[in-house]
This record gives sequence, C-alpha cells and structure tokens, in this order.
Amino acid sequence: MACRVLLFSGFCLLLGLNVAARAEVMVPEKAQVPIFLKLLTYDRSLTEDTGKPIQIGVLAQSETRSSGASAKAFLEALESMRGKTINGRAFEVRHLGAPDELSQQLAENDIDILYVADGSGSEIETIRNATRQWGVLTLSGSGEMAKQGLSLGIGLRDGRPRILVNLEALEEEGHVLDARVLRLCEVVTGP
Amino acid sequence: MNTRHQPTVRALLVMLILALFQVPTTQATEEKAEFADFSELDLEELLDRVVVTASKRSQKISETPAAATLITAEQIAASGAASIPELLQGVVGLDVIMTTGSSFDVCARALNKLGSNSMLVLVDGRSVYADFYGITLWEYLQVPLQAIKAIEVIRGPGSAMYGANAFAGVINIITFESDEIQDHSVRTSYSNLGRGASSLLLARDLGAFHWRVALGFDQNRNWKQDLAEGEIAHGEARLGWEFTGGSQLDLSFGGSSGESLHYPSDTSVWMEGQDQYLRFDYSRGGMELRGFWNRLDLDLVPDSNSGLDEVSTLKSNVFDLELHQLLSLGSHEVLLGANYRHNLADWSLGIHDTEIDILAAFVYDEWRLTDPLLLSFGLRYDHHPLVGGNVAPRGGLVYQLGPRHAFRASYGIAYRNPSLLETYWYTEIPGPLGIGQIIRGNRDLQPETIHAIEIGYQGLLRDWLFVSGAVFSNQLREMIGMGVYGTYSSPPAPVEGIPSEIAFLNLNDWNQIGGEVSLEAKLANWLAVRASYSWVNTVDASSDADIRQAPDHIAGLDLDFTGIAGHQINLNTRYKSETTWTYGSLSEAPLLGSGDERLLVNLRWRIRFAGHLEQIVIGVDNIADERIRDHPLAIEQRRRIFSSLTVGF
Repeated sequence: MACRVLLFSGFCLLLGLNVAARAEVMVPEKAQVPIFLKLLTYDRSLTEDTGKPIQIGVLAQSETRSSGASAKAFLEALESMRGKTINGRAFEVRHLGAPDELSQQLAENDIDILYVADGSGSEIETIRNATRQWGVLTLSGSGEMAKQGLSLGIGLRDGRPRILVNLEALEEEGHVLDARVLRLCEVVTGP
Repeated sequence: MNTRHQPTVRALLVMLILALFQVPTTQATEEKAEFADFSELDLEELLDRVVVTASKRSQKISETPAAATLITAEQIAASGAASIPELLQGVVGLDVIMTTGSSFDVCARALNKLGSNSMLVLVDGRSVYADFYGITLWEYLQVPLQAIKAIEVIRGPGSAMYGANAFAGVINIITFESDEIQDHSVRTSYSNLGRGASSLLLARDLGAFHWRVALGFDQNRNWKQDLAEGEIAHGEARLGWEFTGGSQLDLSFGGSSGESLHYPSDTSVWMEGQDQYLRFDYSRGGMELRGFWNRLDLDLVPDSNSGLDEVSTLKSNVFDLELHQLLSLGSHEVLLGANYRHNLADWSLGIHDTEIDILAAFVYDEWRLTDPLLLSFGLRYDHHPLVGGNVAPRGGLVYQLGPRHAFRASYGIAYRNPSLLETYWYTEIPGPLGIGQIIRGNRDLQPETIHAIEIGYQGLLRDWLFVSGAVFSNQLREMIGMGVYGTYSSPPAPVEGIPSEIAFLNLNDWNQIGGEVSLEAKLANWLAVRASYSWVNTVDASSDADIRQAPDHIAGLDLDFTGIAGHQINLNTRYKSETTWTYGSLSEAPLLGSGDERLLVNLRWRIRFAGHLEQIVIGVDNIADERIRDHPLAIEQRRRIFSSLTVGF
C-alpha cells in the first residue's frame, strides 16, 4: 500500500508542475545551427575574407504560428555561438520581418545567408525570387523547403540529421559548395 | 544558493523542486563549447545518428552506454523486406528463428528459443509483447514498413529502464510522426513462396493538427505443408495536436485481425482472432505521460496431437500508464519516472480471469563528469504481486577519445518475471488407465535474472572506416522451463516414473561469454561494405556443459553497390552455426534435434524513380536453394524470389 501511495504521489507531483517547453521541429534548431555553420565553411563564395562579418538573416513565414517559434529558437541558438567564426570570419545575426518586404530587407542589411523557418511554404516563391536577386544563400530546417527551391535543408527522415542540397537553387543563388561535402548530402531537385 | 537566509526545510524542498522542474530540457546534440571556428568541427560527427532506446531520450549512438544498432528508413526501403523480423536478420548479435511462413522468434546473444520472451519489443515506446506469455506476435503488429523511421536494437539487459522482459535487450520500432511523412504511399511485396504484404499509408500535416492512417493486408502460405497459412488485415490511425506553449497530444488506435500458425512452444497452434490497442501520449517539454490498452482475443487451435487438442480461447488485456520527466541539471541529465501496469487474462484451457498489478519507479542519470567522460546510472524498482520487489541497477561509462573514438563499459542486472502462463496455468489431461497428467504454472517461481558486464568500443578508424565491437560476460540464473514436478508410482502406473505433473520450474543457471564486432567501410562512391560477426559461448553453470540451443556464431557480409540512374545492388551473405534443441510433445520423452548450419547468399536490386513510382526492389534470398531449418520443428526454408514496389502520391 505504501508503495502505491508513493507512486500515486509521484504522478501527482509530476503532473502538477509545468516545465519550460519549446516547440519541436524535425531537427531541433540547436542542432541545426552547428551543422549549417559548419556547412558554410565549405561555401567557396564565403571563404574570401572581405573584412566584414557574414550577415545571417532569420525569417519566419508569417502565416504559420510554429514558424515564429522556430525562427526564435534558431536565433537563440545562433546567439549562443556568438564570438565563434566561420573560416575566420565573424558573423552577425538579424531577425527579418515579413516575407513580403524581404527583398528590401536583404538589400538594406546586406544579408549573405538567410535561414527560413519551417512553415507552410506559401510564400516560398517570394523568398526564392528575393534571395536569387541578391545572391543570398538560403537555409531551412525543413527538407521539403529544399525541394521547393531553397538551397540547403535538414531533414530527419532516416533517424538522423540529413543534409539536403538543391544544386540548381545553389547555383541560382550564386554559391558553390566544396565537393567534399556533397558526399554527405542528399541532392534534391525542384520545384 | 543565497546563504544569507536560513530557509526552513520545507522552503528548501520547495525551492529545490521548483528549480528541478524549471530547468529547460536539453537536446542531445549539444555542441562542444571549446572550438573557435566552425571549420574545427567534424561534419560527420554532427550528423551522427540519434538513438533513443538505451536511455529513453535522444542521444548519439557514440554516447549510448549499450551495444546499439540502428536500422534506418533508407535501409528498410532498400531491403524490400515484407516483415520486421526479416530486417532484423542482419543485426549483429541477433538471432531470428523462422518457425512458419509468418511467425518468428527474435532474441539477442544466444538466448533465442521457440516462444522467445526475453527481448522487449516496443512500437514508439509501447510494449507489444503478449504479457500472457511474453512472446511477440510479429505478424499482428499494425505498423506498415514505410511508416518506420528507424528500428533500434539494444543488446544486453535493459531492465533498469524498462523493467521485466528487457532481459536480453530491447527492440524499439520508431515510426514517423505524421508531419514527417511527405507523401501518401502504397507498398506491396510478394514472393514465390506465397508470402505477400501490401500496405497503404496516408498522412497529412494541417499545422497544429496532423493525422496518419495505415491499412495493410498480409497473406502467407505454410511452406511446410504448402497450404494457405493465413491472412491478417491491419489498420491503425494516429491523430496529433500541437498546443500553444509546445505541448503535444497524440491519440492512436489500431487493430489486426486474421489467422496464423505459431510455435509458442513445441506444439504448433493456429491462432485466429484480433489484436487491438488504444493509446495516448501527452508531452510538454521534458515531461511525457503515456497510457495504452493492449487487447488480445484469440482462438487457439492445436495443429498436431500434443495431448492438448482442445480448441481454446485466450483473452488478454493490458493497461499501462507511464509518466516520465527529463531534467537537465548542469552536467546531469536525469530521467525520473513511474509506471503502472495491469494485466488481465483468461484462457479457457486453464487460466480464469486472473489479474495482476505491477508498479514501478525508475531514475536514470547521465553525468558528464568531464567533456570526454560520461557516467550513467539507472535504477528501477518493480513490484510484482507474487515475486515481490525487484531492483534492477545499471551503471556505465563512456569515454570519448577525441571525436572519433568512444570506449564504454557497463554493468547491469535485469530480470524477467514469470509470465501469467508460467504462474497460473492449470489443466488436466486425461490418460489411459486413469493415468493422466497435470500441466500447471508455478506460483513459487523466481524471476529469471541476468548479471551482465560489457566493454565496448566504436570509432572512425579512417574517414571511410567505422568499427564497433563489444565483449560481454553474463550470469543467467533461475532460467524457467518446463520440467517434471511429480511422477506416478507403480501401481497404478505400469512402470515407475511416468510424469503425473509437469510444471514450469526454475531449471537452469547458465554462464555466457561472448563478443560482437561490426564494421562499415565506404570504399568508393559506388561501393560500401558492411560486415559483422558475433560469438557467444553458453555453458551450464554447474556442469560446464555447452548449451547450444541458439547459434554460437552468426556472421554477415553486405556489399552495397550504388549505380547510376537510381540503381542499387546489395549482395549479402548470412552465416549461422548449427544449433541443438531438446523438443517434443508434453506427454512423450523429449527428442534431440538440430537447427542447420548455413551460409546463405542473398541479392537485392533496387531501382529508384523520380515520379509517383518511387522504387522497385527485386531480390533472391538463399540463391543456392539450401534446404535449411532454424529449429527441428520449424519450416524448411528454400530459395525465395521476391519483389516489392512503392508508389507515392
């Protein structure tokens, strides 16, 4: 009887207390960040040291509730890496506003890299056009986004993080990845 | 803590509890803080596989304090397999007995047998073994192969986390979340030996709500008698809601209905009926509350004359509720939990409306003592109404020598409680001249116990060569089997010694030593090699006599060729050494038979497409058409030609 009472008390205790929680995505943003930043060291167009920090923009897709949470988590994970460098270059992080003003924001902030938080993808064409216009490399935590025309995505389809690369998008955005890294990637096409 | 104040004990406790529960949960793939430039990181290390079973949370395989193997969705798709046990045949240290066209027994480290009940099988954390006897009815599982994200196999005792039945290891089948499935799909496979399986998987992600529906139909032929063996239809649905604040609720239910032929012991039995489940999961941050109801309703028809030729009905209900909480406390990651399990069984052949309640509490702590050194300790207490309390401890350490090498050592105790059948069964078989037999369970049984010590290594010896290996030593005590509990004197029997009573008894104490090694080598962009070998020596603890009821040696070699235009070829060999089994019907003297030694060569050709037709796999198992049996009573295996096709839409 004492054992039952103890267990019951344990259940009540655990149920009654709230825990700080965060929305989950396919691969947690905290795990995405080091993978993406490591990938950037293989981007030949970023290896030249211009003396300026690499500008990384983070964009939420406006109509999706979870996209905002994902963008926030990615920003926080990026901030936790402040002080580290990408092939010797520092980076700065900017939270961008609505996608419909993206082109202007990319130009004003001189963005080099854009992370698009997971969402429904209904604004993907706007994002694609703007980033290709300004030669911005696009990243996403969703493999599906890579199939819709963003350059790099991360999926978790085989029980572990997997990098998806859209070579056509990469070329349109004016970036080239070192061939050494391509052997670890799954090449996707589309849209 | 602020030392200027002198809080009361109660206040201190409240503060401590609040502190514990306000700590955000951490992700398993946290990065080292010591690097300055991202070029210093190893990308392959970042992409290391995640595995959840050994500690009930995501972690890198290299940090798993147990021998773990992961079968990925990609490997499942490439295999063209029609069932989960077929996929497990290539896992190092695992033995699969194919008893009929549809039923299998699976167990790790030479503890396999007909009616294997020492390996815990989970689907997304829900135990799917039949508590009535502890066996897993693989053919009744509702999950279609294309819905499986990964299958994790943990070899070695897992009772410290999972309680009884995680005796020889854990197989956790992890399915895709509904929002991870991109397309609807249909998968169908068929082989020349009359084995076919088809399944339909539908899924949609509607933002905060997502759903998944799977339907399947399997048919098998009895290869032994070349007769239709059975057909089983499956269906399941899963609904998921994501709430503001990050909490999530999943509801799922499923069922299977049909018939199949089984060897739960030395007697083959036709099983016909339903297997159903209902489940919910609620998670919020690191807290998860999970409940499920497993229901089994089967008619059992003996296939041969065993003395038990009566048709019987088996009804089993299992209610399980578990709550666990993952906490991050500085360098500690702690999992606390409690579990309640209610068993209700009724078998018309000798178990009448029997109920038992099992209560458990567990704690598991992973302590990163220094950056390369991870210590773990787990403790689980289970209370069983007949056996009493069981304490299962487990301790381990993982030492990472740079990013490429990991050494581990562990010690654990696990147990298997006697099943309902082994405890409560009572039936009388009439015999000639009034000399019948009583067959019964035994309420005085002690749980089977295993003490396990293991040392392991895994590492990337070259950029293209991954190696893992382990050596272990097990002491197995109080192993349960059927034995003679009483004999007739003469008269009334014509001769002395005829068994009057056969019961489940704690018969055997065994000792084991063994080892496992596997390697994966990517020799070229178009060629990868995987090889594995496991060896176990099992001896009787008192007489040192060899126990060879499961293969001592198992080996495999896979060559994976990746060609152009989506073509992949897998050529593999599987070796198993000979086995020796004691078997026979309950009423006769036991027989001695063998399972065949074999070296099989198998081939698979996979073609992937870009359109709705996603892939075709064509394969031949046992190319040389060896006639082999895994057990003297099992079906004779022959060459099997099969094909599988997957369409997405």
